[in-house]
Amino acid sequence: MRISTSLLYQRATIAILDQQAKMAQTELQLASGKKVLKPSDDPAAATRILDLNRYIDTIEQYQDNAGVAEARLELEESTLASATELMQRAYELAVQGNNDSLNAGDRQALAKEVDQLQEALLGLANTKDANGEYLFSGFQRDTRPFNDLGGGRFGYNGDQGQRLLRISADRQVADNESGFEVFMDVPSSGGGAQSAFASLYNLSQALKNDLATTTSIDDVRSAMDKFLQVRAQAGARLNAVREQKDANEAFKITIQTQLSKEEDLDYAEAVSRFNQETLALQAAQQAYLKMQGLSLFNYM
Amino acid sequence: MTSGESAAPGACTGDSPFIPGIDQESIVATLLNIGVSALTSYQRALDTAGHNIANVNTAGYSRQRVELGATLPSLSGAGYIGSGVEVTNITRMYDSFLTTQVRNGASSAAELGVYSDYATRLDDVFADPNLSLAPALQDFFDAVQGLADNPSAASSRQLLFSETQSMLDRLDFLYSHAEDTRQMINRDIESTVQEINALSTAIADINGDIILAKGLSGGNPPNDLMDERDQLIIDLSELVSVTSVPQDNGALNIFIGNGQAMVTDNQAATLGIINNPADINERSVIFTNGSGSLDITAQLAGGRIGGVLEFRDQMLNPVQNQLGRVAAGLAIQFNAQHRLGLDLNGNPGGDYFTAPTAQVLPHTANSGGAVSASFTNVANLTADDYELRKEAGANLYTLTNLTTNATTAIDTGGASPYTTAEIDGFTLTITAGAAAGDSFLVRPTRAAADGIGLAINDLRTIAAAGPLRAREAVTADGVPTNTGTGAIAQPAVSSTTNLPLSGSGGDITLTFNPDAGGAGIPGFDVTGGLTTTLLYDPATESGGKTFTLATKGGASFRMVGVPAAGDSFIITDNTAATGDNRNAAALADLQSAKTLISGTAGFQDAFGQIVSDVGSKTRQMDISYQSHKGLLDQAIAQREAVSGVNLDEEAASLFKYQQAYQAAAQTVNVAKSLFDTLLAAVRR
Repeated sequence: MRISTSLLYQRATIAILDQQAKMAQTELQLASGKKVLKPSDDPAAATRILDLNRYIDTIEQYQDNAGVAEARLELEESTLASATELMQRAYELAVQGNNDSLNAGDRQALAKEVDQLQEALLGLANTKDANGEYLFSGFQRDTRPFNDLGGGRFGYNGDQGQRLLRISADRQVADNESGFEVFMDVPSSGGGAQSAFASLYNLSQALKNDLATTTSIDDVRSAMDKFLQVRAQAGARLNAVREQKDANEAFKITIQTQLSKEEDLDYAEAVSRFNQETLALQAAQQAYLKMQGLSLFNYM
Repeated sequence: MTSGESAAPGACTGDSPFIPGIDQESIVATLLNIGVSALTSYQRALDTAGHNIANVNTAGYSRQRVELGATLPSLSGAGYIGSGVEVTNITRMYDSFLTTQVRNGASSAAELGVYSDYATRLDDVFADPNLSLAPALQDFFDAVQGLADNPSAASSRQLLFSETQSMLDRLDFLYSHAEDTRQMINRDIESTVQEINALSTAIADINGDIILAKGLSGGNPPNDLMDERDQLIIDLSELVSVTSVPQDNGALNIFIGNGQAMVTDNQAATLGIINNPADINERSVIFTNGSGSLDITAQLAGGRIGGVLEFRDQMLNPVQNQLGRVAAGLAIQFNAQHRLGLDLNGNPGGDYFTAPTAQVLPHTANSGGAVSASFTNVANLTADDYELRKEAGANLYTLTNLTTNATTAIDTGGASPYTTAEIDGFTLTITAGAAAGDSFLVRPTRAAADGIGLAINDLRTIAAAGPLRAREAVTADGVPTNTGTGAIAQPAVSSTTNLPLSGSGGDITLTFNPDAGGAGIPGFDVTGGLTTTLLYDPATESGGKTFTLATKGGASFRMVGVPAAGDSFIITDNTAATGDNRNAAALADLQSAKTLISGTAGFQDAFGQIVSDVGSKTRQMDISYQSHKGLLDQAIAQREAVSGVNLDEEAASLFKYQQAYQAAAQTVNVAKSLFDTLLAAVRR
């Protein structure tokens, strides 16, 4: 086949340009560390990368949610631990107060401590979290949940709502118990329910009036049991949240590994490819120069 | 069919030997003539080689070759005696088939090249982490989850607002990028049409010159003009696909589209630009000649203009529609859920986003009427465009899907305005007044991504809470009064029907009654805002049963446990519930809900599909372009093999003709000395 002179030069130039374009692409890959720079480089991988990034971000958000739930449950647990200790003390006082060897004056002294415990329990029940929201008011986090209405009446101003946080694609966890559940819905020895505060008030009244504290012992015990039960529930949830956090983290690492396979550049391969392309470019340039020297006109 | 090759035999008789004759007188004159004929012929041959060398880099130039032939011999006593050499023809080394191949190859390569360039424009932005929607959408939903974590915190509400704004900015950017591309295409069409007109005029002019030159030379082709014209036609083919028909007078007539004569002899028609009457934001191409104007946009194929139009129809429009579908879906679904919630002020949620609009464009030639479109079911939305056409019959319209060509007949029955049933996720509202043949372009999703904004600007009006809450019965102080183990879960709503309860009868009380459904059939007597009976048998259903109160916001709740007779549960409006995150959680759950494309894709899936479509289309176009570019290069190489100038070859020709010229000069010299000898013999 005849080759025209201009085609010869054009082809040599195109060969050089092609090599340069390949090198530019490899250079971009090396600079970014990414295999897929644009969707068209590998459309299927581009979509998978998008999906995997989304999974990772979503898991990270679940981890954030779990962190929030964990902090609140820890606060709830420690508050309930204090409440349990407090009830333990009240229980001791009630048992002590039931001792026949005590006189009215001794009982007055015990009643004073019970009053303080009742104050303290009210304080615990009105605990606020780090955001300044009440821990035990259900949905109404800005409403102070418990009030001492006087005369042994204690009002609950919250509701029975429980907030759920999503800690994985198919798992939601409550970050609180309502004050109703913890402090109001306490079984009473006389049947029905009675608030934990009322049982302390009744204990105090019995001591002040120098009466037997038998009923109060049962009621205080019942409140303590209730706190322990709720605490166990919250503790179980706390464990569940921590386990889920670990599971999420493990899942995230799996996905990150997949993502890395899809998008990260194999540097060894890319560097050797780059060297190969450099060599090819040099060869094309040398061929061009050689070709330029070859002409019959040189011999005229 | 290489004309140069076929003319080759019979050439090169220039070095015919000197034959001594008998007739001394004529011999001298003949030899001189022969020498001179050779000198002139080789002068021409050297000129032609020089011309070839001079045009080694001229685009479209076909090398030329001098064809030599022996002149007619003269009769002598000994028979015919040669009389020298002459140039019989200057042949253009040319193959019309190869040139047509180059022309077609140039047209395809230009078409795919421009398509590929435009596709890259979309490819560059749709997956770029700093420009694309995907990460912004993720951040937005993360912020919604953050709101669910801390529903009353100003910080989480503020973050949601700012993430929403960034997401809307991305949507807006992608939409503007598509619209900018559309404007680029308009300008591209305008400038390409100008170039087509200029080239057509130039071809017509050269046609005129060729007709004239051919006439003057008695039929010999003006080689260089023919090359120039071929090159112009190749240039024209790079803009639009053309066909050519050679004429006896030497002209080439050029046709475009469906056989519109762009060049006839030395006359060129012109293409013009008008606003597309169906959509004035786009340009259409009209063909104008003596008999009038015709819109030929749909018929133009190949070349730059074909590539641009194909990109617009096959890639830009679908991508923009798909993007609009994601935007409309997100805004509408999010708004619907947001309206089911309760804000920090205790008010029902409003729209979170401003409503996306469905585009309807009336044809500029319409005589009247009006049409608007509204979204009704985003799951059924397609990424297609539609045309609504008024039929001849009274009140009759036809809606045609411009992608699938599926049609829907619409009869307004004379009502105006008339709203259709749902068609592919939208409805049309038609106001009478259109005449038969009037049309409306309906593009439900095209501009849906445009101008979506935040509909609220007060942090407190983000509706994170649910509208209703449930509790078991308590005393005034909040001590429980129920004696059974029955419990009610918090209700979720699916509408705002009869909400808030305070406006429609007040709180709803469910009281357990062992004989609610008749003797021995246990259940709840419902009183308050609603009077009904909900059957619930603790003996078999204590594991949990879900009830729905359709007339009260579709409130749905679950009862568990074993309630005692008279135990009651109360559903109330959710007041002061600053810590309630139920609606925020429902909003966050929209992220993973498959609410688009007939329930097969979530928002992020649908966007991922756009990225994948853009990526594969761009890749496919690039591969097609490369392969067509390869074909074009091959066609050019084949043409060059016949027509291209090779400098070494021309150098060889120069050597060859130079030698022959020198020999011919010697012939003249010999003739001169013969003549001198003769003269000396005669002189005394």
